[in-house]
Amino acid sequence: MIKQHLEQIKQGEKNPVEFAEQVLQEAKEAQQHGYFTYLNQNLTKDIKKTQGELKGLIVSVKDAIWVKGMPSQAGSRILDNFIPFEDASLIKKLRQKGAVFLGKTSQDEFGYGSFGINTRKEWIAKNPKNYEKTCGGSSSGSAGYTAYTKYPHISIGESTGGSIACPSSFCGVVGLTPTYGAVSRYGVIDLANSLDKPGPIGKTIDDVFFIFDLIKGTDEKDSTSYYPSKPKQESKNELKFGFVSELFNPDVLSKEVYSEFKRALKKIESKFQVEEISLKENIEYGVSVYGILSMSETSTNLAKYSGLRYGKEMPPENKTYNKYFSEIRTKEFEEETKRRLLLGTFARMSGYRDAFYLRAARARTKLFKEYSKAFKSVDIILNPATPYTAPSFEEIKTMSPLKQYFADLCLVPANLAGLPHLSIPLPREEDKMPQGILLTAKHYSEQELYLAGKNIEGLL
Amino acid sequence: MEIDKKIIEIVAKNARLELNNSEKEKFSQDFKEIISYFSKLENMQLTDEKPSFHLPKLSPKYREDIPSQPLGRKALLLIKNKEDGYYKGPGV
Repeated sequence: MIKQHLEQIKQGEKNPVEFAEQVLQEAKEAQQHGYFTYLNQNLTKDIKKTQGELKGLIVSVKDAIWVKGMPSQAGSRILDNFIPFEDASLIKKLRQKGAVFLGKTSQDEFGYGSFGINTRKEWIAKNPKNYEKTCGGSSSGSAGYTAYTKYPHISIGESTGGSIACPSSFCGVVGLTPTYGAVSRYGVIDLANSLDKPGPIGKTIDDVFFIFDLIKGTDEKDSTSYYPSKPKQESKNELKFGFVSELFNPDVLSKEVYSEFKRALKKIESKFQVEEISLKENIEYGVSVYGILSMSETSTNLAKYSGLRYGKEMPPENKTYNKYFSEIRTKEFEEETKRRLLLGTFARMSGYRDAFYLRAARARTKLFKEYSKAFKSVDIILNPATPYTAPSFEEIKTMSPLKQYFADLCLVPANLAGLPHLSIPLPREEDKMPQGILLTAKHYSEQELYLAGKNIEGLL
Repeated sequence: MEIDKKIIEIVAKNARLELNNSEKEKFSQDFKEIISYFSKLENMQLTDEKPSFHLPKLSPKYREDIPSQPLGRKALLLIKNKEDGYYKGPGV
């Protein structure tokens, strides 16, 4: 879709300025559904000035990712007024090739959530399939708008524990979470450094991999970034799939998701070799390990939000440093952010650190070994992306915080291991909410993930 | 594990958050449920596993130590609490 669109622009069959006007007009109308934290009113001026192979490409960007000159506040009030003075490295790559940026998309504050509700009321994205329901989170606006728009579109999201695949599944779009470090984190506002992974959300498999190829690569500004210049190509006659037995379970999945996944597996089995694999410990302990590690990292990362160097400020006179720092954080952080800050601080405190933080870091090693074992017999691991379809905002109100963390049960294992994964929408009847199937591959095996996705998409 | 308002107060002080009584009560209840679930990690058999702080394991390649253009005072441009090119903050 994107490639054909760019070709039409190149051949003069589409006028990029008219296209930008149409997209901006539609985005303004979409704003009532909460997809954007900021809309670029200069889009048409921007598109006139650009040149390059991406001339005509309009991209929206999750609020946590820096776009020069646009407010970038990770869905948080504490970063009000913060406008980055440069682009994130991945944004710079797209801009240099001629892409323009439609605006910033809504999200849970700093990425803390699976339903896009932990932010300002006007930034809570409504699912375009049913506005009473969530888009998922935390890249809620990115997936919601990509599903909403009738135009060719790419949104850049970011996943820590499932924030690309969850909203992609709930909204019926394609989400690619790359290998950890494959795309630079420079200019991505941290949630948890060892887990954050920016990646594309689009309407088709071809679109997300087209963009991934442009944004991947080692970046000297991010020492944890790396992508092999020649990824290992294993020549295989046929890909071998494995499904996770613990996630193909009617006790874990909603009835609807269970039967949809069963149907999809049958179709894949009709053409490919599919075997049952076990990720028992990942499913049993993944949410705990992820919770402890991500909240611990969060609690140190958010220490910098003190109301001093950027974002919200208060008059500093007549206040001690601690009072000023505590007051502004208490006033501006959302409840879920406070909860995670408290839990993360607790897990690192003297007396608890060994039992929680260090034990979880050791457990992470063991959980990865379980994946390594599974990948000895299969190339691609399959499971439903989410245990249920998008819940309504009313249903979410009845869930405890712990129950909400389980929305990412099917996604935290791959995120903890830093493995690339792809959520593809399953075909559904018109009156049904979308649901995604998740494909996971080995580190740096995005090419294999692409081939697997293309192979099964026609079958589903 | 005993989780009470006292622990929440200590944690909140370390996290630089000021909680009112109803928040202390609410977060105590949430802590009980969440920490109780996280504590199940005690049942996981661990032997010689070393902690993983990043996956995949990477050997960071740093750029050469050559001076380059620093950000300078660009970061100061957006804040209001400044004086003579310095941040203006509360007393320590």
